[in-house]
Amino acid sequence: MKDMKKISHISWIWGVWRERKGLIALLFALTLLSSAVAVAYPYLSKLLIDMLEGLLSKPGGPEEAGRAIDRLAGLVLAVGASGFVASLFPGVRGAVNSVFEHLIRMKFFANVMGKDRRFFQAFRSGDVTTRLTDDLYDFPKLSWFLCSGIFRAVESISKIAFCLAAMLLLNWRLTLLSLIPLPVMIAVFYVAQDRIYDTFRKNQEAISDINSQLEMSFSGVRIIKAYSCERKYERFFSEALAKRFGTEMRVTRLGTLIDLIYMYIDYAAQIGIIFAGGYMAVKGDISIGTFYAFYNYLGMLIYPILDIPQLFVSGKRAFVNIDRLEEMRAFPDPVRPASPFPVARVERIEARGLSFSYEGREEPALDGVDFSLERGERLAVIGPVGSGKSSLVKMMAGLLEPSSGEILLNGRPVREADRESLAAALGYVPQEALLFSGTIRDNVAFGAPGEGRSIEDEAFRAAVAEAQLAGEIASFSDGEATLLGQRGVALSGGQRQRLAIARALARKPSLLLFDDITASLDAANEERLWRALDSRSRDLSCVVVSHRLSTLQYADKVLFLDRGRVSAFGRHEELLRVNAAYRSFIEEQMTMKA
Amino acid sequence: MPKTTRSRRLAGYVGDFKGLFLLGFLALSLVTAGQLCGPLILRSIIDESIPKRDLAGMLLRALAYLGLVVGMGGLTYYGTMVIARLGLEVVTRIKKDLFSHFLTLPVAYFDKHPVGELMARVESDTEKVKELFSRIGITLATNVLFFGGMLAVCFSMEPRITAYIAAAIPVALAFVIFFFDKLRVLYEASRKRYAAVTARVAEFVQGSEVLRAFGREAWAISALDEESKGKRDIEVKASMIEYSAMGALGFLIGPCFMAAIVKLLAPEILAGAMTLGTLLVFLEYGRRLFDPLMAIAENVRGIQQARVSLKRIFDILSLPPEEGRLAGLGPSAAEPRPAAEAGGESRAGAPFEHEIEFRKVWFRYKEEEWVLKDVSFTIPKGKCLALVGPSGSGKTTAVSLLCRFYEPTRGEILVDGRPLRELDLEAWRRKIGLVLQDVYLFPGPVLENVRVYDDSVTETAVRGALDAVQASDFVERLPDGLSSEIRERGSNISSGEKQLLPFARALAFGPEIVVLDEATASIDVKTERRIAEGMKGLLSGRTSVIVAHRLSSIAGADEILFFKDGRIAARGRHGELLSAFPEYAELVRLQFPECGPGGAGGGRGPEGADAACPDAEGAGAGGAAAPGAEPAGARSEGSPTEGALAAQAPGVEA
Repeated sequence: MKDMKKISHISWIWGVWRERKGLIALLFALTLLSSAVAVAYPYLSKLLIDMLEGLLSKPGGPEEAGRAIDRLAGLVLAVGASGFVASLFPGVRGAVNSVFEHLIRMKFFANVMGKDRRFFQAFRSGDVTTRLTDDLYDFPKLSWFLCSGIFRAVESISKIAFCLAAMLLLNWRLTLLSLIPLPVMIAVFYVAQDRIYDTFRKNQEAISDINSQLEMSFSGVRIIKAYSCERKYERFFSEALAKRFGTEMRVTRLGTLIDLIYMYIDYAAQIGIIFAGGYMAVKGDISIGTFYAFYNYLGMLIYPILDIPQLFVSGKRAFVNIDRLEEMRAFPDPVRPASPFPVARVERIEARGLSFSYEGREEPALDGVDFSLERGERLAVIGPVGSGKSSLVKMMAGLLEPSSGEILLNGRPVREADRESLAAALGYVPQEALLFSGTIRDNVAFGAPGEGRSIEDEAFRAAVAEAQLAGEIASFSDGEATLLGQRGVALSGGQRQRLAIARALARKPSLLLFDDITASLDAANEERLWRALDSRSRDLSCVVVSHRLSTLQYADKVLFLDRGRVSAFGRHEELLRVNAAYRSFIEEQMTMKA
Repeated sequence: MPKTTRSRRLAGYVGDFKGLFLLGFLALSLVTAGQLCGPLILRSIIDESIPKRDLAGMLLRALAYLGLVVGMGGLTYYGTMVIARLGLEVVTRIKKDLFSHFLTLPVAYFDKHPVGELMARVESDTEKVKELFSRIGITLATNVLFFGGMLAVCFSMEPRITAYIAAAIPVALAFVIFFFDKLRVLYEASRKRYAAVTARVAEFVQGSEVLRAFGREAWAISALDEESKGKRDIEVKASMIEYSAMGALGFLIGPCFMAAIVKLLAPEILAGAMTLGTLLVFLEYGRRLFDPLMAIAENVRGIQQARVSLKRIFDILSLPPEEGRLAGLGPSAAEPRPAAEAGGESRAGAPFEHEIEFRKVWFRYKEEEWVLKDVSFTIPKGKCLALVGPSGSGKTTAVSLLCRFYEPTRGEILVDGRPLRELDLEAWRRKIGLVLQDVYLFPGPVLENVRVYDDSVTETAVRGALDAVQASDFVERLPDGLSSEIRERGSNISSGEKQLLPFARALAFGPEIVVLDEATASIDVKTERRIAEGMKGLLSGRTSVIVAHRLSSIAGADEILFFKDGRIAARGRHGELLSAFPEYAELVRLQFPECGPGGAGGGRGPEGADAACPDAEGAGAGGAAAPGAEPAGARSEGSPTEGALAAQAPGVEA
């Protein structure tokens, strides 16, 4: 990732903002409005008190007083109405957070979808998921920061400015006096808050200790019971609980202290005003109204001040999230062929000196593999675990690119094939059946030609029948509409794999790639599958990886791999006769398991 | 469980801490009183000191305010800590009891409830109850007190206006609570959407290879877009509704209240019926009217949640423990219970000298679905019994019954003629060395994985067991030997090594009976060989019951039970069954394909099949067939060679 561009975080954020200019302008307008309203209330109290004081000292006519009172009440309501608009500000912020979250997620997900195997090997799938979900979602993650995080700080700053302006306007000397204790209070707050972090972390550790103990005890309950270790186990749990009690108490103590400081900072500020402002009021330097307005303003001033540093804390985290997104984007995209050739159907597939090594492994997964397959032929790939069978199949599917040598498809290198038409010609059944949430039918439709959203009834029925799944589907109460996954039915491993086979068959491919079907089909079902494929057009070529020797009887050719090399290639009977290595492998397979 | 019992039970937990509770409550009440006093001091400054130009009086009052704040701070800290401690004590006890109780529940309970759910019971539910004692309790109590106090003070000053306010409060509160409930539904929906978005992203990322192979990237993008947009729209709606409602309420409580004060109180002040200071008290209280209301409304829901959690917790605590667990691990099992332990020993455990008998055993997990139907068989001490049959035929259930994970629905299991259910449960299980089909490893050191945290099993015993199953060389090669950490699901050791550890675990406890549910997963030949070696160490000289998935296991068994649809369809030795029961022969062909291909491939390679057999004989006699070595040797005519040959027969004919 050396060519990863260093993007300034600020301009990154600006880039996102620019896509929603109108919303950003609205947010700025609401910021100003809400600060103005906040500052207006204490000022209205001051006006009220001063007015009453004035009327008391030199009473005018009752009419004049009534008019003054009505005017003030009207003013209060007017400010209140703008306050209602301003109170939507946090709501708009929350909404814009969600808008940004969606925007960013889709942008980067689309980018990830364009990556190839190397990317998914470099980034664990859980990690990618986290970057596209948890990294963006809610407080205090990226999308929150992009709007709420920044605009809260903007609001704080504008509130402080409005407050200070109002205070200075009322009485600059009292303003300066009342600001003196602020730095001390803020310092106290941060010293305390700094300490909570470590305590919090320790408590978090104690919590995960307990969780992992719970997990292992519950999932291993048969073992615990079988060996009658319940009591010993309890002792273990009690120890963890005792530790947790200690850390929880420390967290509570510190947390309470911080809450206390936070709560009483308000009071502390007011005490200052009572002393200084009270002194000035007694001396007659300021009016009672001003005294009361200051009493309120100082309380209003403190919390925004405490809030601003939050911008930097959450900003730091958000920048990490940005970097994590950009790290994915910077990962090199797969090279697209300059002039891709379309694959109407697979006529011939041939490997020439095919080699491949996984990053960070010394031994090559494939080492100089040669073979060829004509249209309509079936090739069985066998060999010990780790001999490179899966890698070979993936390479034919265009999912892996050879380190050297190449796979020729219809006489041209696979990597130059037009991806879309290649995908349409292939029916790939991965080793681990990977299905998507949705119904059984949705999953078969995924493979069908077209957009992958729907499949015709007849095609669906044919695919599931060939995959030997029709009977089981009929036995589900919801039939083909049965939902898979968490809220749906839990298919067995074999059923999942056969569904993956149905999905591949629904493509009507010209080359079927089975990466190990041993686990999903027993010998009888496998036989039925091959018979069903026989009755399809004999133009369908197949490559099948198997651990079961009975598969060999359905294959025209056998490719025997050992440690990445072709140990034998040809017809089974012939290989048995002429190839000693092949013969001894087959014998070993048969005897060792017996 | 009726509600009263529940509150009584909770009271039982809280009871010991009554003193703490009262102290904390008292402290927080005083704080609330102090908060109410603050504006009153302000009033006297405005009404007395300022008009009279009384500097000394002003300073005295300011000092009183300072003292009040300091005192309130101290009391707040004290009260909060006391109540928090109370909550923590109670919840720790509940957790301990819950966990102990969970371990006494029958295995059937764990079948029905996923691990995550059980963890949530012990962790999240109890934490919600803790909230009741800490945050929620404190917030609610202080806010209700503060609110009530505020009204009382106002009432004493200005009964008429206060009456108006008091009448409006319930309406406002009802509105807020109703509203929060509506919002909760929306936020619930948004959380669900988030979970769906996460699930989608995860499955697409995991399935990226399939998406690529099928050229379905665009499909995935649009599917995610739909889900993610749905989430955004719900959240935008929830956010806007929430804040416009709060804004409306704030408008009613704030500006309208203030305008009312201006309109109603100003004339009174001008008429001299009220002082400016009193007006300020009203303004001050008005400023704070909104917050307690919101705090109360927000926390009402917390109480509901805590109640639901509490119900779930106590429901679990009232579940009956496993039958036959006399001593139990009841609520206070954390302390040693000498009586119980002595009791267990005095029953002389669970003697097993001659044989175990299943007599007409019927069993079902669910109504109307018999898994075992009238199953009878006998396991003589020292013999090896193999159970075979298609999956779902009842083999694993039969061995689970033997471990007393479940009780037979009908019929009996007898040990030396005594019903199994009369034997001490723990003592019986101690006799059994169980190896499950799925390898279960604890995230923790190798040592504890072998002895399941039971320190009565010595390190020497663990080493001996590892040695016997040929696992000690790999353990030694680990960075910290016995204390090396095994990661979750054993991801840092090879699959063969993984399968050896349960063997060692079974052996370390010195079992008299070994119960082995063999793994079905296909493994490579080398691993297979290691496991065979390990099994040899485990089984030698012990009574064993094997749910067999390896040909070697059935070939070496003294008796094979062929299960079909919950019944024993045939029994006998391997050779006998092969010739007498075509169904068995067919099963062997399908389930042990390693002896099949030569046969299945009929026309393809007689040479292959021929070549396979002599080796099978060698391997059978030398290694894999060794379990129960003496009997196997004694009856060489039933050797695996014959089995392997015969197994191919049907295929050849077909």
